[in-house]
Amino acid sequence: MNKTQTNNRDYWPTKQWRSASPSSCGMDSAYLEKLDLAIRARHKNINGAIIVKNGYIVFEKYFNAFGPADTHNVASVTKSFISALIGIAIDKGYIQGVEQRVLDFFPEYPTKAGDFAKRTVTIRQLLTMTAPIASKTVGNKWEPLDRLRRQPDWVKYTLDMLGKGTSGQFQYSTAGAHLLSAILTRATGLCAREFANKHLFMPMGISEIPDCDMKSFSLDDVFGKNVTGWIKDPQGVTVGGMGLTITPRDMTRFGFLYLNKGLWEEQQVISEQWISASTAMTPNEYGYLWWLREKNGLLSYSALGSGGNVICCIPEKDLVVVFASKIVVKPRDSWELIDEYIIPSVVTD
Amino acid sequence: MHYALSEFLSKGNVLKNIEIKGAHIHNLKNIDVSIPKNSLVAVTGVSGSGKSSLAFDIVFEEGRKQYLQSIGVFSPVDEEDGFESISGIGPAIAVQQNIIRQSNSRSTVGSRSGLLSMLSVLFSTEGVISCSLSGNSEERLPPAYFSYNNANGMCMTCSGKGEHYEIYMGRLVPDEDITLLQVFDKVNATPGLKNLLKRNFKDYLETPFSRLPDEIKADALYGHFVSSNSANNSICIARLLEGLVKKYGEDPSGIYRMRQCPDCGGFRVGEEARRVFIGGRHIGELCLMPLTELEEFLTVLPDKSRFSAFGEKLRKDILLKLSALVKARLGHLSLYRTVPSLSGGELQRLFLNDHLESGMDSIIYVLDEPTAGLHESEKDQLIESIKRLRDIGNTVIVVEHDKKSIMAADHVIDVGPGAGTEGGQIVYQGDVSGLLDCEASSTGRYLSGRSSMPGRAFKRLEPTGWQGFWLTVRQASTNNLKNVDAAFPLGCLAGVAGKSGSGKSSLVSDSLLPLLKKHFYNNFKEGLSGDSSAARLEGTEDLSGYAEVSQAPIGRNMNSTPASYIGIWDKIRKIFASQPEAVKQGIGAGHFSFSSVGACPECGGTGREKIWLGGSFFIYNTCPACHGKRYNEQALSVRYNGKTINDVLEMTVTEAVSFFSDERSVVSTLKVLDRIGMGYIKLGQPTPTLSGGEAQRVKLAREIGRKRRGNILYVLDEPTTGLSPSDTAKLICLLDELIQKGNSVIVVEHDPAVLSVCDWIIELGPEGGQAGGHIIAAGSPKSLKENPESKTGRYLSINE
Ligand SMILES: Nc1ncnc2c1ncn2[C@@H]1O[C@H](COP(=O)(O)OP(=O)(O)OP(=O)(O)O)[C@@H](O)[C@H]1O
Ligand SMILES: [Mg+2]
Ligand SMILES: [Zn+2]
Ligand SMILES: [Zn+2]
Repeated sequence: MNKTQTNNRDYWPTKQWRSASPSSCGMDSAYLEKLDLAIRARHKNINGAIIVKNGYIVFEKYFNAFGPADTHNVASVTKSFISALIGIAIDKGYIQGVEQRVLDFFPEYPTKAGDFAKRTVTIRQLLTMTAPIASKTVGNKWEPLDRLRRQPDWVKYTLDMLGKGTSGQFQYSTAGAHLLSAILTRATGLCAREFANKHLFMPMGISEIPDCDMKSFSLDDVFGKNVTGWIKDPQGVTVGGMGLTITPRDMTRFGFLYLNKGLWEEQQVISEQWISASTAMTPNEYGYLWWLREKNGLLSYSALGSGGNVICCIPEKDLVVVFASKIVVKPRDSWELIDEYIIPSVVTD
Repeated sequence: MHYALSEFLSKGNVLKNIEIKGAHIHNLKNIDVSIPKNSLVAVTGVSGSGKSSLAFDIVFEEGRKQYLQSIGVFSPVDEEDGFESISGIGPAIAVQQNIIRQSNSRSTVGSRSGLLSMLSVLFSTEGVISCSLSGNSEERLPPAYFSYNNANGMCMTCSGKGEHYEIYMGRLVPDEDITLLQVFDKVNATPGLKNLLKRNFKDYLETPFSRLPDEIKADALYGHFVSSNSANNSICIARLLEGLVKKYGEDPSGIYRMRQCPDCGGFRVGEEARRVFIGGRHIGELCLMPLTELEEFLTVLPDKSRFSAFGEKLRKDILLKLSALVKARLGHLSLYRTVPSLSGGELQRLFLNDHLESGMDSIIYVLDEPTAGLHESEKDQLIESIKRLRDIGNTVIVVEHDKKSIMAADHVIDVGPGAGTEGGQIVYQGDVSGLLDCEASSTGRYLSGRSSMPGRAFKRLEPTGWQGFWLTVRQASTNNLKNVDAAFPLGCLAGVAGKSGSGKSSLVSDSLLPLLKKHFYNNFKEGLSGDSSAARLEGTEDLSGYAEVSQAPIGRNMNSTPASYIGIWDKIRKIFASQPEAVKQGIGAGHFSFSSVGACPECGGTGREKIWLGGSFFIYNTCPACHGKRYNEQALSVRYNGKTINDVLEMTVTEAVSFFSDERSVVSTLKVLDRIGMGYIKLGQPTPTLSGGEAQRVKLAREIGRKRRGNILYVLDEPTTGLSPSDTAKLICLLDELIQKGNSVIVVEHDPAVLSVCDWIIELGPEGGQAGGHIIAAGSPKSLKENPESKTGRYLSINE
């Protein structure tokens, strides 16, 4: 099978994923058996793992009493969904383009006359994590997310931090991704969850994500066991940097959409142009809210969330790898699984 | 304690003395020294005699090294030792003023003493949350939210500093028509950097700034990320201004200014913490109170009745610590006071307090002038603390010039007799009475009264008082000042005296200097802190300018040297570039700069390589490529009168005076340095490593070197810090000379020797903190001596 076939699938997993044996897709199943053992032995935080090759599920396992119907809080994997939504909003003309300024969407937010740094921050900078933003510039190792959680107004808090620091410097910021969600809402009138349901999830057969009732913003409500659906901030803005819960199969659908350059059945859900712009290699190895990697000449792009949540797309091998994981501190690096078992298992392309 | 450490201690403890044989580091001349343990040892001698080399570079460094070796974090490196043998050493802790001064500016009295964390816990557990804006009203804030040093707690606008630098746009871009080129030219930077900036913005130079696209404005002001330089920021106006601040401590044009943070109002913590109260105050308010006031506040606290048992215990623990600090005469400080801004004496007391509390024994403490900044009446208590440190089983070595401290020592080591090559020998070691009888020791001669301080060549004051002009500060009320009027006679040597915390600095640094700045540089009114005050200045018409000569460190830039600071370095580089060898190779003045093209490629011009040992332990080794010479081979191939550019960096001021005797413009400022006892300083010593007193004398030399005309008012803050009696004598002569030439001098001083020769003294008091802020006496030293209100007069010696 060759690469051109990606735009010419023999079926679409809108209703149902189909399975195939690894060998029928040119894979050595011995590696996948070892993968299973490795997950059980060393990656006990992984609750679900799926590998899709050539559009077919060749590996699907659940651990720790989880099953296919269970949703998982995928943490920062959420950011890559926001990236897709911004792309769709640009495709549809709600947003002019990535060079549009962030503050265009918040005309009521006051700035001082000399505040050129804040006024010139663009959507592209938020997407690429290169906006000047204070939370990391003051020498903190981590962005204070618990502090974000406690804010009465997350968007204002983030706008307050914008413009301080070095413009163009890579600074991973969950608050910055939240601003993109707020921009989406300002531009489309829908919250990111509603916009996603309508323009991203429905075409792929991902079940609609209902509104969630945020009773409070305790640790458990924002980061922990109470997270359901897709959480929102106190103003009702869908949280942009985290907080989506989704099944491993739906995560795989999202990755598969990217492998197909935005095409799903008959519909161009996201423009091909957006997907190539989002995943083109950069010096920071980070695209538009996607992590980029090149190892031994093999390119991949991934949505990564804390605790070991992964959607990894390897276009050259027509491969999507998904791990849904319990959010633990310092998980074992799951690249080990991809590099040692999954990529070597592909014996013929 | 580590097992290895206790073993190490018991091994070292067998010996009664620390025996050093053949010490030869720096100027030390193969000396043998025996330091009795468990005693208070004073190391004395003139500036540059080798006291610090002995106390810090040998005793302290060796103690630290051997300790690290004993616990296995340090393997001996191949570096030459500055001595032949040493025995009896134990773990050593040093408090060197310049090192702490350089310490992180985020460190404050509160963080250093641990009180800030204790208060944070108290607020976290017992604070009352008022009008919470979020839906989490019942949720307590964790302690981190009360700390300006924590990402959760800090005010994001100022990163928890309470103040930040800001470009004053009104000054940078005063009107609509000013072009980008003109804006660049307003910034006081070197032509090289400016040309770079101009090249980057060449398409916009003629456009009025006001009409540039915002993106260009933002980029010209703040730049963007680049990976090609160490700042990781493109060249921009903010970077040039930061460079100025690093080099000179301020931007003289007033475009870049430190401002109180508008978001937290100087309270350093975020809004979350500012909504939590104890006794009606939030943590930022408590942290800005003088410790005495905080102690009282927490003592009478009405809230305490509702505290949990844990909170109540914590409150009591906080009070215990506070009262120890107040007893150590630090009650006038606040918890937010930054460590680098403390006076040398305050620093030492804060430190001593920590260590007394820890109760460790068998440690060797090496202290640098612990009494600096203390009024005569306050020294006894400090000396008592030091003795307590000794009594619990430690060895305390003080490098001191102060008579009281030297007299209290069990053992004195006098290094000298002169500075630099004239020093480096042990002039005397033994008990104090022997020192007083020692004819060879200049310290002994001054202490015994056989040598005396110089009188003034020139006494201005008539018996009836001052008949000339006055400079008067009216209604000064900064900090604790009680709306005072202070009149300084011009053309005189005026002293400002008083106990610590009485308001001397508030009068001089916070009232007089900002008013002078405002007058002479028409400096925007923000110059005055606490602008609501009605303070004003009268009598400036009789002055032609002023110069502030503070003890603040000269920047943090390790590439800055005394030579570059006093402005002769550019000239010396030009001299090298004009040598035939340089002309032949076509290398210009820039190649003789170790911070740019002339740098050794291995170490980037530092001359050292940094080796990480794990944790927070680093050691520095000499750079293997240039052997510490900082330059590349090309630069070192050029010689002037037989010396390379690196040889010049290694020269002392005294040596340079004769070496450059043909170069008048180079030699004149060097001569001033030489005359104020700084002849021993090397031209290439990084300025951040100068002590506060040395930094001040370098600044003074630069100011005098500027040869300004008219009556210039020189304002000096404790110029005798770090000066031995004979160096103080030199300083007095220099000040006298300034006055003879028609200038005026104001000194904030504790040293009775200097106060005694002043023409006029203004004394603040009567006590420190809120109990101070009044002028309790003003007049000639003689009148103070006769004034029963004065707390300083009794220490003055008037010889007419
Ligand atoms: N920035 C400040 N904010 C509020 N109070 C201050 C500030 N700086 C000083 N004070 C208070 O003003 C009083 C006088 O302090 P000042 O530093 O002028 O004393 P000083 O006589 O110079 O003492 P020292 O001998 O230690 O230099 C003290 O009570 C001090 O706590
Ligand atoms: Mg003072
Ligand atoms: Zn602030
Ligand atoms: Zn080198």
